[in-house]
Amino acid sequence: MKYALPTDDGKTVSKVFGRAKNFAIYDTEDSSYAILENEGADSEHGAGTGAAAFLATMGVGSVVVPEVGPKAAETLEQAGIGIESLGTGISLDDAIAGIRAR
Amino acid sequence: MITICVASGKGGAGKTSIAAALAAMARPTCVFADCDVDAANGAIALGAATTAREPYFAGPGFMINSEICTGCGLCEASCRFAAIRSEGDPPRFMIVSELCERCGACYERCPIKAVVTYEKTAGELFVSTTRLGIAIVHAELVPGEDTSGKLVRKVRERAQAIAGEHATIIVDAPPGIGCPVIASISGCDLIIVVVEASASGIRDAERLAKLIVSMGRRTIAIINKAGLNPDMDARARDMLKAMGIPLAGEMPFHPSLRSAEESGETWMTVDSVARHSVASALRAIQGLIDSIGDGSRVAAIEEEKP
Repeated sequence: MKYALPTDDGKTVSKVFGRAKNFAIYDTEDSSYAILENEGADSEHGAGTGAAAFLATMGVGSVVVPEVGPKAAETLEQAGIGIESLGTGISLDDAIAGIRAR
Repeated sequence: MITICVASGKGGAGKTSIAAALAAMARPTCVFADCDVDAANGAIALGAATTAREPYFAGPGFMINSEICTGCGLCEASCRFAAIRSEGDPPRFMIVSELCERCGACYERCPIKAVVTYEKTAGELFVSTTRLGIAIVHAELVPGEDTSGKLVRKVRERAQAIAGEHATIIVDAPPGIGCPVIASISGCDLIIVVVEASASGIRDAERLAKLIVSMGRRTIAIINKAGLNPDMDARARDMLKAMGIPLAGEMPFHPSLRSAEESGETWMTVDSVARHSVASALRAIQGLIDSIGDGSRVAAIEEEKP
């Protein structure tokens, strides 16, 4: 399954979801890892729903994020994407190690 | 760095007054981010003098290049907002910028790319100094522009860039529970919900509380304008209890608080019976901030005057 983690700096998990600058995508199938730019980060509005739709087209199965706004949560739910919460300030490496250890 | 957001749901509940008192308490290591970008008044409450300003570009504006326009009229037919007008014979088409919703339908439709984009100024971002000695980041939208979620983000990013590692950022949120409020709340370490002790104040704060709970943010509440109607005070407390939000304190509806603002002071400097309530609520908030434990301190709360 593909996991998406929002990140601004490519090192730590971002505090926010829709306006995060990038998404780190980790695929448990082949342990592949990629950082994709969130083109909707600078949207005038609808950043959260836009990011959720983008992740749906990427075939993401679950997002791992400290918080999700209500409309983004609804969109993720409709797309069948799970939401897993984690604390703020956690490094991408640690978060991905956590996913891998399951 | 710790970020505290003051929000209320209802307008006029006392967000800016309480945010200003928090800022006075948190100085000098504090940056005030006025995210009520549709009607910012933090600069007024804190007595600000602007030191830097920059234009805010929301997204592209559209215009028609009359040099290449053939007058086919497809753009006018595609516009759902009647923002495209024609003049003369053969017709020359133009976009009325005040009516344009910037949807881009004309841009997509024009067969010869005579509709072009330009960077449209949608507002301005300001950095100012205040008489408290702290910086405030604030913004103004051009009337009719509705891009406030993005502008809130810009205000917060600028405040973060100014704030040091151990600074406190006080975010003054807009009223409501929509896009700019979500942009104000997201990623904050603590949300202070200001509940005005009135029927609409309680209802709007409850709607905000549901939003905050859904986003899993740490929250504490202040009841403002208490003491006017004991029944409303009780209803406000009951609502907070049902929502599971702890109460930092209750601010009385007291003339000294109003006159403090009229004379350009914050509630921190009020020298009256109301001071006890203000200090006690702020102390409760400080306790919660300490428990977050990132080393930031809002400030030592002055000893109460006898």
